[in-house]
Amino acid sequence: MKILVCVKQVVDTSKMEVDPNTGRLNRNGANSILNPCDKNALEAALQLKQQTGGTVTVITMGPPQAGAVLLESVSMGADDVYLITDRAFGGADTLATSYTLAAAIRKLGNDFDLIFCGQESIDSNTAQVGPEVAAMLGIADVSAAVGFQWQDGKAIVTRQVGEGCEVLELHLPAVVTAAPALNTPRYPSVQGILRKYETEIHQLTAVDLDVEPERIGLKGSPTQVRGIRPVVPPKKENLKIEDQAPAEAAAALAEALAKVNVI
Amino acid sequence: MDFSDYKGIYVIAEVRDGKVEKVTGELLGQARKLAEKTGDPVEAVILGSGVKERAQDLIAYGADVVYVMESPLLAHYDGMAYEKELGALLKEKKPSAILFAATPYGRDLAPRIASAVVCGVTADVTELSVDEKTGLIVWSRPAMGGNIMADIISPQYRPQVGTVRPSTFDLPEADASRKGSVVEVPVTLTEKDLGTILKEIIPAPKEENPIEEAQIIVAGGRGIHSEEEWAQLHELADLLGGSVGASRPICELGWEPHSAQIGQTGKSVAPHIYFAFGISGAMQHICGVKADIMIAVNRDKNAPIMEMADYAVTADLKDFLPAFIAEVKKIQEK
Ligand SMILES: Cc1cc2nc3c(=O)[nH]c(=O)nc-3n(C[C@H](O)[C@H](O)[C@H](O)COP(=O)(O)OP(=O)(O)OC[C@H]3O[C@@H](n4cnc5c(N)ncnc54)[C@H](O)[C@@H]3O)c2cc1C
Ligand SMILES: Cc1cc2nc3c(=O)[nH]c(=O)nc-3n(C[C@H](O)[C@H](O)[C@H](O)COP(=O)(O)OP(=O)(O)OC[C@H]3O[C@@H](n4cnc5c(N)ncnc54)[C@H](O)[C@@H]3O)c2cc1C
Repeated sequence: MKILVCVKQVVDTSKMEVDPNTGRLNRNGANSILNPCDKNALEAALQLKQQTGGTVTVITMGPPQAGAVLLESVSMGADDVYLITDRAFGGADTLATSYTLAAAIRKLGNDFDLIFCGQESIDSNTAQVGPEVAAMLGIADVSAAVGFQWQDGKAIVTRQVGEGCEVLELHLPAVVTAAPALNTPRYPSVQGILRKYETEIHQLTAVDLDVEPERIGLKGSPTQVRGIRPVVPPKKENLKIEDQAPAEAAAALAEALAKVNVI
Repeated sequence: MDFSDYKGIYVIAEVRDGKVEKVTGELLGQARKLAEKTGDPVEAVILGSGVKERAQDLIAYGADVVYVMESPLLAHYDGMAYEKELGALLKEKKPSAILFAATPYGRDLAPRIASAVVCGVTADVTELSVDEKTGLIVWSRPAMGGNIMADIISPQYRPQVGTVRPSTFDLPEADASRKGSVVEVPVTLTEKDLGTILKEIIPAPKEENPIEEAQIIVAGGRGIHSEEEWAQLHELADLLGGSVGASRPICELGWEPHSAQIGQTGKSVAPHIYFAFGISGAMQHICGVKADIMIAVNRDKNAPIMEMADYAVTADLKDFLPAFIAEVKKIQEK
């Protein structure tokens, strides 16, 4: 089985916060990391390979330093890795990103049985790249899979809808985007870490791909971020009850809420 | 670029178990507001099996025209099939803008449509407006872990598209006497067009008081230190006719099911009243809360939630909760 995984390098947003006084976004030295649920995508691919044999190829589109997430993928067990990188790809929104990824997939032979993506990135978390890639390749997809099984030559995928779940048989080739609940990603193995030093990151640039210049990068991106504003925690006129014994505080709150008919 | 032949604000209806989901009404309400500014008609598309009778529901919430696409093959959401039918209709109709619900289905369908039609999609929009000068729709969404709000436009491409999370906007009053036209669109799907075969639906355990519909939510976090104390939240919720919600750590402890989790990886809620007992107010939690009145009780007067709350009580919950329940009972008995 030929399996592909798309991964993205992201900023670790859990470290960031907005300073309520200045309204500035404080990065707090947030690192660039492999997008968390892309690890779930890679884990699903590696498990499938263990079951059926074959290869796991990992691609990312990004600047040269994004190669780091490819090497991390190798240390987890990926067979070969491709960095899709070119200044012309810069500023891409999800449509231009998906267009470029789809072009790279065609370049790699377009013969993958399954393509795994993360459900969403933690920095802009649109969850759009997976389904967009599928539609560009004219194949099926299931978003936000919480279960994936390979049974009797069939892909059985579970997706959560509301609080319930749907179990689907998925026609291949197809894209599956991995929710965090899909599996528990493995840690890099010693072997993998050693292999990381010997692995060549293959590069693909715009001239290597069959792309129309007006469909890539900023130019090929319909959505434009016109501006960003920090979300400053809202400050309201409020009733503060401080320095009171619990019973008195409770009585004061109950009285205040009764006034506005909450109780 | 000339976009003068792109007209209409479209809403893609979401149907489950034969009923139009509440979020579709919320989107139609927003579409009407946008349409008042842009002068567009509001049009809705409903896909499914046996959904024609539901067209009037969409008109009641504000649609002027409803396109109905009926087929047994559309009974369940399938990305390939829905993209094929809806994509063909949208390419022909050329909407100016399209609103999808940011539900598991809508979040899959909107990007598939974007690839087919070649347009952008703004994900998980929480604010909508029209730029006075250009007439462009401004789609605003939180990003970077909820720390920033991005204002997004699509000046060079049509349609302009966004997905909107349920409970973000108010449900307008339905007007059953409203008039609109219903257009049946022929569906040409065959089995071969489907990407998936539905094998099984595993129903959710029936929730008694789903928090997304609750007017009063009694939510708690790590400031509550035992399951016995936690039971008091249920007692209070029962007294007030509300539902119990929780921060993520509480659900991880198993004191509440995941269905009670509020926040980025849980539910978005929009109650009238939100009690936050022992919740610090992390962005990942608060981004899921849009309450008219927020009440926070915390022993740390500097906890972030205390800044956001309308009523902020500094107290230790161990003593405060039983005292507060007693006070509520006293008032209710009067
Ligand atoms: C503040 C802000 C808001 C934005 N809002 C929007 C918006 O509403 N709509 C829009 O179209 N764009 C938006 N963008 C642009 C968007 O972030 C980029 O297009 C980005 O390249 C991909 O989007 P994502 O991170 O949301 O991916 P998602 O769709 O959330 O990612 C899902 C999965 O797709 C795969 N993937 C994503 N990117 C890559 C990649 N570069 N290489 C390989 N695999 C990848 C990974 O498997 C990933 O887990 C926004 C950007 C910013 C900074
Ligand atoms: C990607 C990601 C997604 C996430 N998604 C979610 C999500 O969907 N929902 C969510 O809730 N969280 C989510 N989180 C976690 C979130 O960042 C916070 O860690 C979490 O919300 C904190 O929960 P808490 O407020 O209950 O606990 P804490 O932050 O520990 O706060 C406990 C509060 O209780 C107070 N307290 C302690 N003892 C007492 C007492 N005896 N009396 C009164 N007050 C007391 C403390 O002063 C403190 O303010 C997410 C995190 C990440 C990284």
